[in-house]
Amino acid sequence: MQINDIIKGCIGGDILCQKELFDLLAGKLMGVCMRYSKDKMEAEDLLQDSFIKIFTNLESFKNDGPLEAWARRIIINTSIKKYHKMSYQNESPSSDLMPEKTTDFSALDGLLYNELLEMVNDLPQGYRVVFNLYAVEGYSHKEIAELLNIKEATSRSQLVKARMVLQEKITKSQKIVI
Amino acid sequence: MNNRNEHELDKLFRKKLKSLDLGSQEHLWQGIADQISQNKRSNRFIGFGWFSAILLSFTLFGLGLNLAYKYKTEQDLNKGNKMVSISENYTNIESSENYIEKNSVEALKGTKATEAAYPKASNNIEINSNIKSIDYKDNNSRGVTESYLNRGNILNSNVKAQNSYNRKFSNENGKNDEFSNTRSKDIIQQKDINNLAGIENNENYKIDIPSQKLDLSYPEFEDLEKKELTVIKQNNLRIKSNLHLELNDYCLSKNFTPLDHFDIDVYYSPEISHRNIIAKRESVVNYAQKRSGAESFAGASSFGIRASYVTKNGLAFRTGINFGSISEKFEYFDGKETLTKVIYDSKGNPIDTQKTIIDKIARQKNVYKFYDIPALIGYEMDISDFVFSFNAGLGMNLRTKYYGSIYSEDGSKVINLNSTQGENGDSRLFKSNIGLSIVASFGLNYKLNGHFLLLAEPNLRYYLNPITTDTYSLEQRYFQMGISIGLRYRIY
Repeated sequence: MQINDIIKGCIGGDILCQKELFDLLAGKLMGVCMRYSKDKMEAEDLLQDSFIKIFTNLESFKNDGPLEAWARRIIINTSIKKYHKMSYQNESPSSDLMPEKTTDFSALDGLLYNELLEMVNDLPQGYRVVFNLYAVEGYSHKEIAELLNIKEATSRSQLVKARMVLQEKITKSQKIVI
Repeated sequence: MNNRNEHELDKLFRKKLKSLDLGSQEHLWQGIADQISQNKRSNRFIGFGWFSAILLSFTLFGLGLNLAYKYKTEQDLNKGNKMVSISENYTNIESSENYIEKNSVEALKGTKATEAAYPKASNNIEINSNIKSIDYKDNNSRGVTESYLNRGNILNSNVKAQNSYNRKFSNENGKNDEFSNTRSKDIIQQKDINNLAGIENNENYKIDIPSQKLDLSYPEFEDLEKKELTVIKQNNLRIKSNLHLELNDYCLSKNFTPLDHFDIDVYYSPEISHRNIIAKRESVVNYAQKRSGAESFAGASSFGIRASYVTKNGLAFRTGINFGSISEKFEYFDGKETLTKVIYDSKGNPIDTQKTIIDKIARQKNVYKFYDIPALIGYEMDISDFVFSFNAGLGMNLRTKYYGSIYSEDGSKVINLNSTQGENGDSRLFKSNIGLSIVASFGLNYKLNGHFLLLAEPNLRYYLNPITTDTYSLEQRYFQMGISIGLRYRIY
């Protein structure tokens, strides 16, 4: 079945097509969900909520790009909504940021994805969202500030803090490996 | 996304995580499927809510219109506005007994009947009716309709053809009145009403005083002998003796409450049904949820025929037969199936195939059919071109039939709706007769002509008992709402 047929079937409420679309996208979208969640359980909830939104809003998919990218945006938006619901006021930007340590990242290519995921999961939610949006998705601080309704400076500082935490974790993991 | 100097850490995470595929998440599908199904039901309920709101608005609008109309009428009467409209829905009764013998007319020649003369004089016209309507047609087919209200007060003279007509009347109060009409339409004009004798107070307009005797004398019966006297539109007309008329009927005036009559209705009602499934014990809650998730509303309708007897006070007694039907879609897992996905290159040539094994989902239509006899009591109001009616009562189920399948209690298989269970295997899951239902409706019916009305009747039906038997672990109930569209034929 072609993707357009699957989309049409999903819009028409055909559960068979919905199942097929789920099978097509679930693995990749779960990867996205894992990055924005603190654990697997939260990621699964996010994936389920996002798929309901995908099926509900599939009619608004314009077919002007890959369906997967559109579905990713739904997951990111769902995640951002959750972020807004959470209280993260305590995660205020720090004015005296510590200088970043220098690390040879090329030597870290051997880190497994689940190790990296675990590091991201352990980040505070604010750091995690900003880091994912900036570092992985490629959003600018201005875009992140608009999305999260925060100041650009806040986005910058949270990114820096996230990097520091991650770097520290990487360093620790390297020591363990050594 | 801006150009920027990428941080090595960012690169590492992007490279490893951006296109991460965590593979099959099969274990999450059932939760999503259940949620989709639940959303469908909830959307249906929202739809049901909207439908209810529309029906309620419709009903309230009708009630409001009715009250406003009544209020305005009262106001008009209080202000002394004696405008009374007479329906154009008169119908001639072409029966020989409705014609007064010419001899009888001749008997009136030159007489002047008075109240004192009644009942001795046979040349009185006694009309036991709230409204009387007599049509005189002369040899040139010109006609005059004269309508009367109770207490012998003449309210109207209605010229039906281009004609100039003069007539004197004397009423029971002994007053004489003379007026003329030269109109061609069946429109009552204020001046006519005001000119009429006997209109002493507003009660004269009310028609709820039955059997008021009326003595009419026609001082100019010389005119009558040239004409053919016809009583139009009214039923139960009897000529008791020479010119002794008794009318026990009503005028289909837009303003007047109708008197006794029979109606036959034929209708079709598109409906929406709300189903309620309740687990009788905790251990079958999951089963109840499974059934709720797997079955969804597909459509409902009913049609029927109904006879009504409506009294002069507007009280209506209705009965007939109603055939109702509810359809539901049942989706269930029916083993596994292999889906083959063909991958094409940019030129449309197949280059690869992928096979996926998924749960096979089968669909089936379940149908519940209800055969009921409604017994309703209602009230009708005749307003302008409409007849408003309120009806409520009980529906007695004659038979309920089922076609289709559901999950079995253990959820492992699909069973027929007519399956049996129990120790002896003779206990049905669904009743063949579900007893009584509460039925109510509000009708806003439009008069097409003197005999036919167009029905538009929002209605609801709630079955008091579940359609499931005591032995079945779930209770299944229905509540239906719809709008009956049809025709009403007024027999007389």
